[in-house]
Amino acid sequence: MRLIDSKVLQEVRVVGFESGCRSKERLLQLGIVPGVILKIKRLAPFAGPLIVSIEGSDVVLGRGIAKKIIVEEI
Amino acid sequence: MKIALIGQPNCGKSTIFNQLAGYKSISANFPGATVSYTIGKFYFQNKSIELVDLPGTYSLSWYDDAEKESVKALASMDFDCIINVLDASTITRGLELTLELISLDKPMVVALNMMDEAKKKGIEIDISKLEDSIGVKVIPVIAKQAKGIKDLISAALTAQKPIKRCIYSKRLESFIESLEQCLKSQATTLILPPKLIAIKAIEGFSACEEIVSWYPKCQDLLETTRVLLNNGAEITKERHALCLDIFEYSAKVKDSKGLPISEKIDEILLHPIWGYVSLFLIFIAIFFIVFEGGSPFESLIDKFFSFTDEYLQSNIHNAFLLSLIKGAIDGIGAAIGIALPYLVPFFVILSILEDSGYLSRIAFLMDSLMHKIGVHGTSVIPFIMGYGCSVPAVMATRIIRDKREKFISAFLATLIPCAARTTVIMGLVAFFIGPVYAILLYLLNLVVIGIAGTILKKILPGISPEILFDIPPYRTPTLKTTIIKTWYRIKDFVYVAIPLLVGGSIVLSLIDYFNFAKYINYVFAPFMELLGLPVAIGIVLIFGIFKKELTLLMLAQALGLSSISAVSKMLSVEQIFVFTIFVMFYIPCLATISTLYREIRLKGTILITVSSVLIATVLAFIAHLIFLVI
Repeated sequence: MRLIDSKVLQEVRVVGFESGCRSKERLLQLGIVPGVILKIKRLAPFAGPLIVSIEGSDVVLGRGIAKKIIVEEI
Repeated sequence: MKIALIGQPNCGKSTIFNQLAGYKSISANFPGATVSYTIGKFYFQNKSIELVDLPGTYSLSWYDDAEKESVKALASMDFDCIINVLDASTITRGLELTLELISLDKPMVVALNMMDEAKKKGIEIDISKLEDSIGVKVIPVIAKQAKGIKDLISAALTAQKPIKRCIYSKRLESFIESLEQCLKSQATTLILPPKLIAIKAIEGFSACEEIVSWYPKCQDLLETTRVLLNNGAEITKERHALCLDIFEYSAKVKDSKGLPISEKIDEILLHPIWGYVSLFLIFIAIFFIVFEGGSPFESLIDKFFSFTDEYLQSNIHNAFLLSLIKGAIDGIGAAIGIALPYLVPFFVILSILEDSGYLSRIAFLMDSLMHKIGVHGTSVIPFIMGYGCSVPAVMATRIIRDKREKFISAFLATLIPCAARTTVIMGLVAFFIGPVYAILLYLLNLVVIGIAGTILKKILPGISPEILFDIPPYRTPTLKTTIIKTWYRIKDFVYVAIPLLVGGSIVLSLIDYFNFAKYINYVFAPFMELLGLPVAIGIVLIFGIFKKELTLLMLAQALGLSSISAVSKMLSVEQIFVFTIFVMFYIPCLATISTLYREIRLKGTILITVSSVLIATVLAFIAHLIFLVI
């Protein structure tokens, strides 16, 4: 499953990234590392970005990036 | 003694710096507030200390220009000690950088900042356990309240190198070690410690990979290592796991009660409908506060001018001296009476906006719209800084990684009316015609930026990258910081703009006295005629290139009026509009041009400068035509 397909406030575990994810380095730096649990907190309207809650901090990421993060339900 | 402050974005480095070295580094509550390093000197226990505030970086592998600056400074300046600032409330993420810094093998102290916020989140950290697990001295601080800052500096003076040399598992360390040894034997000088280069190259950080590729033997080793370690992902994973272990060992998390206030505020401010309504209302409120704060003074200053005018006329009989002194007094009066009253409330509000944490939330709300003009939400930061001053706005584009997007952001940020141009809009249009018309001008400005962005997006090929940053928590701006920060920004106006204004005023008086004006006006006449403006204003526009405030403040003088309130008698409503529209867009001031040159080089600077004059002329001309028809 991709992160973008998960429901708001549903906790999921990061499995990996799709190839061609240009922001992978930054995602890793922000703590979005395979194995961590995160959840979508909020979606911006007009196909805007989403806020993801991870280990106590909030990260904003674009939908395109959320499409390239592979997650699994827990 | 030279000490570096390094840490992840928005962990409070600048706040610590300002507590020690005096307010020199603008602090704010969003990641990427500091984009270049600031050096401060102070004495502690009779020792002279040089403290360097570096831009925040998530990791030593940089991602944008601000982070690159940080790592470059860390490698090139010979620091005696590193203070690693760690945000206690997001400690797991922050530890990643700490672990990387340990491999620099330099004397080091950890400043565990925001202990109060961590407590609110229910995180309690056992300092000695944390010291134990990372092998570095840890000092708890609350930088905002100056708590623990002295202990921090004492600790920095006696700091030791990290005790632990090996932090990864034996298997990883042996891979890192062999690459490190290879680099040591092959390379004579390296800009970074070989161990760090080895780790970062295995992880696949391109700048370090490049360094390794200069040594063919090491390059072969790197390639095989990367294959064995799953493209280096094992290091990243292990470091993250290590951070979690350290956190679990040294911290306790209690359940915090209920929904934090911050979440409740976000329910409204980030709401799909109310979020935008609030945003709009906040901006309208800011406009009226600035207008209501400034306009009474503008009426007052009129009395001052007529008083001094009469006094000078009756007491000084030497015409040359009279015009000289009158020029100087008009300059000071205009600066203090017209510009300052609008600037002060504006900078207070900007400071509150920056420190509250709202800016990053605007970026979230506006991201989708910003994509239409070739940038993404992050550019909200340089744009809003642009309402203050174009110089920091252009510098703030360093947090934008993509070159094309950086250029578009810098271009559009210079079109935003800075505080100086706001004094013109407020002092002329809002004051003489009405505040609603001034709001219309701000909206016109946004429309022009939208169109310019859409065109730039079309001309410059490329895909715009997506938004990605962490949202800071809401924080209550402190009165002290707000005052100091406002003064820090006003200082530039007092020390640079006022002397320029007085000088300019005197020059203008002299030009008048010696009857030079007609030659200058002769050059400008065709252009001014095109826009339907009085020829005498031409010279004011030249002064405006130095500082935009001058266009308003010298207007009365250039028109031969005794005070600004008489402007409405000399200029029609139409001319005030045309003039203000022209000033709102034309040519960035000299300070902005030099900053543009530093950030986006010559070609981009010329392009922006020329386009801004074109945009200004075309719009002013259209406005003139519209008024002709009406």
